Amino acid sequence: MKKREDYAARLTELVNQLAEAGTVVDVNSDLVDDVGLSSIEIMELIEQLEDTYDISFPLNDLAEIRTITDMVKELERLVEKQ
Amino acid sequence: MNLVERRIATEKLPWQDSDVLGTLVLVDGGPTTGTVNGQTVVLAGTNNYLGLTFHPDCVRASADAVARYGTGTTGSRLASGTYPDHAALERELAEFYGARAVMLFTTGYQANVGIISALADRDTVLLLDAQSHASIYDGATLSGATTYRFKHNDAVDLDKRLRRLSDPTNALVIVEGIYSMLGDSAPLVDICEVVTRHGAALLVDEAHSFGVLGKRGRGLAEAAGVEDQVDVIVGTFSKSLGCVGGYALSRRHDLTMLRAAARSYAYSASSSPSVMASARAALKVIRENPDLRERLLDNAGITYHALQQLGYELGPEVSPIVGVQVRDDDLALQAWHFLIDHGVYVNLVPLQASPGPFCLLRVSLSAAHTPEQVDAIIEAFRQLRETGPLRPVG
Repeated sequence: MKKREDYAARLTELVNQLAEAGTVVDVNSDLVDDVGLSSIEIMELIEQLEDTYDISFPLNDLAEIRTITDMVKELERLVEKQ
Repeated sequence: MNLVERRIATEKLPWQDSDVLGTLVLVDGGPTTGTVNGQTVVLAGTNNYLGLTFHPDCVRASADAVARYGTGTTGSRLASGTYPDHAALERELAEFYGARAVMLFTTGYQANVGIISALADRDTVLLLDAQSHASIYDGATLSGATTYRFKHNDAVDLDKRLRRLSDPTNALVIVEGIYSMLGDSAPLVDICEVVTRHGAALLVDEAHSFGVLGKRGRGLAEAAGVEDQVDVIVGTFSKSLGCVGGYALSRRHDLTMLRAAARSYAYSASSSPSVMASARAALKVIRENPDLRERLLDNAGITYHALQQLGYELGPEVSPIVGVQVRDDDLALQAWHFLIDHGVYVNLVPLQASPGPFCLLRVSLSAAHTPEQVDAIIEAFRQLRETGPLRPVG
């Protein structure tokens, strides 16, 4: 549980860095519709996570990732699988 | 609203209020001139690298074949769609590459989709360069394989991702000889070293490098001296060979065992005999005229360096594709119209199809461009920078 909270905090911080100033970001914000990230920014975000945790995100699952919560779940799965 | 109406109502096309997509290009009796929007232009956005679309041998072979065999095969290669020119082109390409066998596809897109989905399945891993062509991504999706992207042209990142796999021998790595948007080449020697060390397999898409790179024009794998380390080569006839079609071949494996598994091969009508005949004639021209490649690369070098000197942001290396980056889509559209008005047609690439946060004015050079036409291309870009929409602000 602690790990999940750490992931969510880290991800929220990264998303805040990419979002325009004044955008409210929470774990259930839609990264495209609510936060306004482009597909290139989402790929940059994923690359940072891959390097930080030494994992690879499969493209097959990316369409399912809409929010920080979705990303945290995928991150947990990939780190556990490692 | 039903599904179709809803879908159409929500779809957005790049520059949909203008007349950009599907612009009518009237080719005018040769590979490098035509008419666009009523303006006579030098064609510098056609991928016609060796300018063979009007070569007399290719035109004659095509006309003879249509007269003899008709307009189409009306059948798949696995049924009634194998004519003498299909079999002959497979033999000739196999000989040209020193390949064990060749599979012909009706388009280059189908070649990638067919061979990737035949090689990979749900128990397989695919590692794609991040800037891979849509046909490679679509082949990966169709295969159902677990698919990862690695950073563009980054052998170290590829190494890292192969290391993360429990069984890298179950992985196929896919790169391109020349990337279609910025014209850069894969660092193939480094990629081969990584792939071989992990025991993975390697596919190289030579769509834009076939006929362009290598002593004999076989592509990047030949130029890099690594042909025997590549498992599969995919290519197209719609660029250097000046017609349409695709192929997959291997110097190491008998790919023809995949003819039934490659569904775009098994379930598409084969190319018309006239297309196969012109591809054969073009291959012969390429083999007998290495000077075409020299002319192409001279034109590419002159244009790349001139545009670089004018201050344009380009791809990282000289290539027949010169991608001029424009960071605003309205400006890109204005610039594209400006170039047409000044007698030069290039491709306008929207953000959605670009490899970075920019649109592209994509120039493709041809061996058939005369020195005067190359000068005209450079002059139009000079004016675009000095008096046109891309003049520096302030």
